[in-house]
Amino acid sequence: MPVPRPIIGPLTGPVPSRRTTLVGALAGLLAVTGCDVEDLDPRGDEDDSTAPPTEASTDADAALVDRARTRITSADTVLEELVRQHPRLRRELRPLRQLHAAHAEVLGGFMERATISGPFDLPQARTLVRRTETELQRHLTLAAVRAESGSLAKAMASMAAGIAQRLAVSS
Amino acid sequence: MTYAEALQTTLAGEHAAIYVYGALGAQTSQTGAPGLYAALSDAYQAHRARRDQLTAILTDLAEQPVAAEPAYELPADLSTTDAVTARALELERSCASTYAYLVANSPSPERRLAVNLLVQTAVRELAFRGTPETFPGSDEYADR
Repeated sequence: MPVPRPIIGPLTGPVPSRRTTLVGALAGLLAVTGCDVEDLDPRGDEDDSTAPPTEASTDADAALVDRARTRITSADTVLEELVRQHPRLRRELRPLRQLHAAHAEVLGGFMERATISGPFDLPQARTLVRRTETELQRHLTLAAVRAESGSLAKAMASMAAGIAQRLAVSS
Repeated sequence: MTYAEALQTTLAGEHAAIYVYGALGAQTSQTGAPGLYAALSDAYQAHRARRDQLTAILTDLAEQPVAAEPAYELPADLSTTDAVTARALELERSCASTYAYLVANSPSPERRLAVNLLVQTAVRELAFRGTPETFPGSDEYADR
């Protein structure tokens, strides 16, 4: 009896490449946010998952991208300040800060950082980290649901999943 | 690719995942490896629930849900807990890619399920010795 192949076929269906994701669906958004799409390393696979974004959807998604960048920047600023106050947290928070940097890069980079008020003792700092990251995960989840572009939604959902993993290993 | 087609692809993946998890569970001792057994059981139940959920959505869309295949190809070596764990992790990572694909191909109002599935599966990877990733399910961003 021929045995059908299970996992590799159906579970690895066509996924948008980085180039098509960013250049195809986010080109307008990146133009708005000032990122140069020409420096992206192209990959060859095709993407038929998203239609060209309309002007209205591009505007809406550009706003989502800006809000996500702002949230990611804010979260990273909190971590930066907590590391300044508690240098022993530097190593502990490094993976999250690297995650923020990678996520921000995909969306066009960090925004301008604000200042964070108030000293925090170490337990407060850890609580604040968890609360900040949980809120960021929720924001990205909601942004993924609201995005007009499927590729942008996928990127946002993946970022939320990455934060969820980090929260899970730190709990 | 339509939403219904993406759902069908995801459902086909769930059928395969359920089959493979059944095999992985059968190779795992409940007393010898209780942690792994519990994780496999949880995953099996989760994928069954997802299969039922996807089937219901497709039915609501007046689509005929894709049926499970009679059998699926299994990995040759499931003789150790390490091998079973590695296969389970591989399976969840494949599922994460599929859910990310469903996210990209779902209309906005219907996308929450796919997003939640991706997040849940990314966390489930950790039960099988997975390590946190920067972009679970979306490797195309990972080499930036």
